[in-house]
Amino acid sequence: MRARLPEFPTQHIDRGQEISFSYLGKRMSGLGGDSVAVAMYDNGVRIFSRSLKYHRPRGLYSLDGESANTLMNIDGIPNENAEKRRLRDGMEVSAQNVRGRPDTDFYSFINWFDRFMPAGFYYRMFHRPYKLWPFFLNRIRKMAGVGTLDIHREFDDSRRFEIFLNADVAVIGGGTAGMNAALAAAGQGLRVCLFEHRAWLGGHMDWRVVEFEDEPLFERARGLAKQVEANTQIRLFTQAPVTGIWGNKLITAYQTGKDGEYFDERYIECRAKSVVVASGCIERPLVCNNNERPGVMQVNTAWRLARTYAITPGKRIVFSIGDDLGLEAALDLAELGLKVLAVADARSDKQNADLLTRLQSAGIEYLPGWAASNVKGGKHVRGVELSELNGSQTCSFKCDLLVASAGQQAVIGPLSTAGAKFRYCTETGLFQPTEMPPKMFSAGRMTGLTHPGSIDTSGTIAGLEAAAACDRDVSTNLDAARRAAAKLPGETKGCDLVYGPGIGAGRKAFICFDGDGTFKNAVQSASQGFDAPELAKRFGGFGLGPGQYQVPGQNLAMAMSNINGTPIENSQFTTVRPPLVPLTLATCVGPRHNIYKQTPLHRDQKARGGIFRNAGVWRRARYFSPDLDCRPEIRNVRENVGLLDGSSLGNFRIYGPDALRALQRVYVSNMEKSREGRCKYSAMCNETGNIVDDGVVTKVADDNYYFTTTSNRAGITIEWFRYHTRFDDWDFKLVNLTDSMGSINVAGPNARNLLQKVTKEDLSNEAFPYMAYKELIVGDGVSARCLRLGFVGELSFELHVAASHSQYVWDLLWEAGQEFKVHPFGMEAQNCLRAEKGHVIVGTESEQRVTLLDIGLGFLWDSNDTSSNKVGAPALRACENQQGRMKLVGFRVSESGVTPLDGDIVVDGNDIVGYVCTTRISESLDCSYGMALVKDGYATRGEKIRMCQALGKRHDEYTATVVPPQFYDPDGQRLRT
Amino acid sequence: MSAVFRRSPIIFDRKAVEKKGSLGWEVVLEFEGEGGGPWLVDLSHLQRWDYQHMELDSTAPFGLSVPAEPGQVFIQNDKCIARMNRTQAMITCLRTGDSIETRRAVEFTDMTDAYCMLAVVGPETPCVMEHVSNLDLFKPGRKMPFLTQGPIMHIPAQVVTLDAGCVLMSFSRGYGQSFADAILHAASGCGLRPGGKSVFNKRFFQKHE
Amino acid sequence: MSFTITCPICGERDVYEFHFGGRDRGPPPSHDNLTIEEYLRYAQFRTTRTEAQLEWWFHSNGCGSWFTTWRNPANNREEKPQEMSNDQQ
Repeated sequence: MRARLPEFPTQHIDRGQEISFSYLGKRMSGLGGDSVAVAMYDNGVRIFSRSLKYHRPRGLYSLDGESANTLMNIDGIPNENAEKRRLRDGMEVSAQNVRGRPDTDFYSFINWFDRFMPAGFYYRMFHRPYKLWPFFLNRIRKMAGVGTLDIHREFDDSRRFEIFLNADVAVIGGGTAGMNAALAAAGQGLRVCLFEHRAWLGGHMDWRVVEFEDEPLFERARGLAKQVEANTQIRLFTQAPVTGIWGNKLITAYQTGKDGEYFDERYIECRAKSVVVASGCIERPLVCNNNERPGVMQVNTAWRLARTYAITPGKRIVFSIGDDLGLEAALDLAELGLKVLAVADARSDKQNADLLTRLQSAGIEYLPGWAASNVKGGKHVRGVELSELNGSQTCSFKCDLLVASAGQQAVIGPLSTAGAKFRYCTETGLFQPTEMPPKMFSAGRMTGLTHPGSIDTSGTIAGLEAAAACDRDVSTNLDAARRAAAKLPGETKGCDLVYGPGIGAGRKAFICFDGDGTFKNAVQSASQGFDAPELAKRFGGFGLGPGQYQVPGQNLAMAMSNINGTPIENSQFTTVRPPLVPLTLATCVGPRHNIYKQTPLHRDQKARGGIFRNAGVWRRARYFSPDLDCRPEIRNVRENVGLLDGSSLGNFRIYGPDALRALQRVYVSNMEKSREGRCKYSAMCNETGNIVDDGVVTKVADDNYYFTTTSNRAGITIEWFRYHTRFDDWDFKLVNLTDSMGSINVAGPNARNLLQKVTKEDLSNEAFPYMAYKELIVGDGVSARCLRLGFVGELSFELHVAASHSQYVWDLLWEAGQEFKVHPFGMEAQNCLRAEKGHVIVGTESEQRVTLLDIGLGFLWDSNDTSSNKVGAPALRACENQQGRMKLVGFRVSESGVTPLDGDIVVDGNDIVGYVCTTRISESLDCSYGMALVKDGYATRGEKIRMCQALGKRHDEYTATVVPPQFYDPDGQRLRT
Repeated sequence: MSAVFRRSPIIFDRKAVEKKGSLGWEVVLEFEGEGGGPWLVDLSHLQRWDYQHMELDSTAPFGLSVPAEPGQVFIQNDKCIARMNRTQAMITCLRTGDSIETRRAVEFTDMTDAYCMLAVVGPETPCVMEHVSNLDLFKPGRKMPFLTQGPIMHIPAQVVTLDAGCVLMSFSRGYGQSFADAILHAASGCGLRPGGKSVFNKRFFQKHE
Repeated sequence: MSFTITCPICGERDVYEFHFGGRDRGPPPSHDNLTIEEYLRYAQFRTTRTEAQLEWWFHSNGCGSWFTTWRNPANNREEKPQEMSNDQQ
């Protein structure tokens, strides 16, 4: 670390805190408050990286991450912008995109071959023959490396959060305009959120020492900042760049945590009622030859190095600027004792007269109507040529720092993502909004104001307008503020310099640093027909890098209109896209919460060795043994008795005078036939006759029903009922009881014997036949709804009990089942069992091409009913006798030695004529069986169909015979006994 | 019948210091190392009712008066009645052990087991909630308590803002455990920890009794 | 896409809380004497528009009600058609 400039109140460093870090293995040190790039600069680092294409040396150009020059690998994370990352003790920093070190990069010779790499070079050179592209791709990627990702790195997701804010007024930009806007809105009692990308408020006033109304600008700004910080109506977010504004004023930003804060980075979503954008200006780079040599930097970079960080930016300094801020900076650096040799000003008139007088008395050579034309030096600036804009005169200076800028450009990103339209304003030299989205207001420097009083007042006006958009009556204050503004200076004339004098072909005049886009590339793009900025941007690769278009920004728009010879006021800014600033993916992702539903028996099933799988929103036990064929589970249900946790099943109540009409509308059957004490199986179709749900309905009392749905449909059942009755003023009420009920299926020949042990109710076949419904009392008085169904093809009882009672009831059944050696079974066993029985699962044996009728459930449909307008009935009627439909069939594989898989295709020659929905190997049938959807020509019983394995690289064909899908107990004797 | 035969969907990975049996539930009154808040309190054992009626305004379920506007919440008799829409209200007994007779007219549905109910308690409650939801749960000028129906961590929920330091969240019971784990993680920066029912009682009954 | 929809019960909310129910085209046709062509026109045909239209939305993550609201698909703002807002003035 070098000696810093004397202490001064503009500085943001902590001299008491020395921070040590390493760069490429070398120990360095900085001060508290430094950014990594600033500390490196102070330690003498001048070449920070090599450029993407030509491997040109690149140095510290900006301080707010406007270019990729200072992308570093910091503590193992690539592509960290060293300008924005605050220095921390023990940081390990290394360079990217270099072979060796940035100052001795092996690939630097490529710079001499630029003439062979015109715009669109990669696109045009390497795609023919196409086979060679992978080879070149690999080479190019190695040369143009953008960091190495450590794919094994784990981000601590408990330090990367997301927060959601609700604001009345959101203010983007914490300069004095933004602060005034925030205070004005907060003064109306509104909730204000203020976003500032730097670590402190103040914007460009923060380092300016000139006085306004007898107070230095930085002190004024800091006074304002104190008011903002003290205002409880304002939530202030510093180090929080806005990444975009989305529909209806949703602002996204991310914030980097300061030392001691509980997060590393957090993502912010803020929904506001109105928005003030005071995002200010950044500098418009000067486009001249070698304008990106290390040692060329923006005005604010040199200025802030001195004023904010007390670092000497250079020993011999030349300025080439385009606005009064440049003059002020030159004077200020000279007053700090730095050697300022000359100031070239691209403007010929409208300068601030006072600054010119002071410049003169400071003895600094001033050249109005001049600009830098060429920068000399290889790895670093050694001199600069200044020329008159018309090229008539040139002079040279030996220097180690060129402070260069062509004036300002407005930061239009936030407004642009919000949908504002822009047009170049010849007066201010900025792109300014011509059309603002509703309830959005802009203020400050981006509107072309430069006078401190005008900037402040514009902020107050915007803040009050935003308050008015939140329905506050602010007319008195607004009138006063507008009157005050009328007395203050308006917009300032901007600089319209497109590029420096003597640019020639512009081979080394860079419009874009990140992608090495030169002025010559822009000309080449235009000559190839890519003449609009949007096209040149892609073809020449301008602004596609991590700087997110901040460097080429307005320059590309102006250069293209200059090259095309079109009026500059018609120049177009390319679309700005979010994220406006790059951010880490880990921050976007945030904490990876996995929120899913557990059944009330989840812990129990886990303890019994259940292997879980996701099933819609639920997580359910699929297997109970490592044998994924589930043989013991299946055998136990077929021969003995098993218990299944089926709690994800949808359960609902529907009641009210019109409940039956609603059921009639959505179910295909005649629901008038549902009776007390009986389960009625039925299905729902959508408007095109596809089956979407099935389940049973039971009547509890008049106008009061209980029904089940499939697990997947439970979440949208109420939506479905209400959608299809939305034009009917019916009185029915629905209650979703899905999570309220645990469901335990007791299935197998011993099911009755088991269940009878826990209830006094008569469960005999006479008293409680197949498809009956009873309310039981089990154990010591727990009530259970019992449905005698047979999905798995055996005698079975489905018990629906309150969720909180489920474990108690399960334990009861388990204990009672010990004498039968009861065993749990999971979803896979259930799937095999029901497939053997030929019972369909909606969505597995059905899809959008097949109707209720095609899968053999046509018997459910009450086709005579036209009065209840059943959903999908006209479609069913239309396809009742339609030819060429797909049909659900059962099949048995005739060959041994093949293991069919779900999804295998049914083929006829080269045609695909169907596919396998579910297939398993049956122990009881001793063959592979399954269900398939096939075109109706192949659906005849006894038909031999060819199947082909569609998974992986195997294409084994095999033959199967079409059979009815009921493989097991086709008469249904077992579930009826 | 064993004393404890009803189970909450949530188990906090903390040792209970004080427990109480009530209506078949085992309710933790205090956990070890509860600290100074904010707390996440499992209230899934509290009895709840869904009540739907076409003329809601003219009725008085359990003798409670029904708020006039959807979103309004009344606290009466240690019971919380929240109006959800034109025809529907949710009634919650806030005292452990409080229970309303179970055989009721058809308009009532016992929803105790349909929901998982969690309370966030403590002055940092707004900080906790802004980590998990974009809902405007503490809108200035809105009379508390009030009901917000919307997503918390993408899970549909009914949220009652009792005051600036206490919200009740109800959502489908199946989500209980993973939801609780997720909110404890998401709001760990605000210091959120599991708390026993006493934490809620202290905050709530002192204020509303 | 992150615009808002105004639910008559819950107020202005993020669109992700809702399910879209299509443009309001009135009640479905009665099934009595309905031809399949008429039915399919109702069930299958949709027109894309770039002007404000009355739409059905379901507040799935909120109060669970179906309602209609005016929205302009061109800019995703909730606004009534020009002629309607003029009528109201």
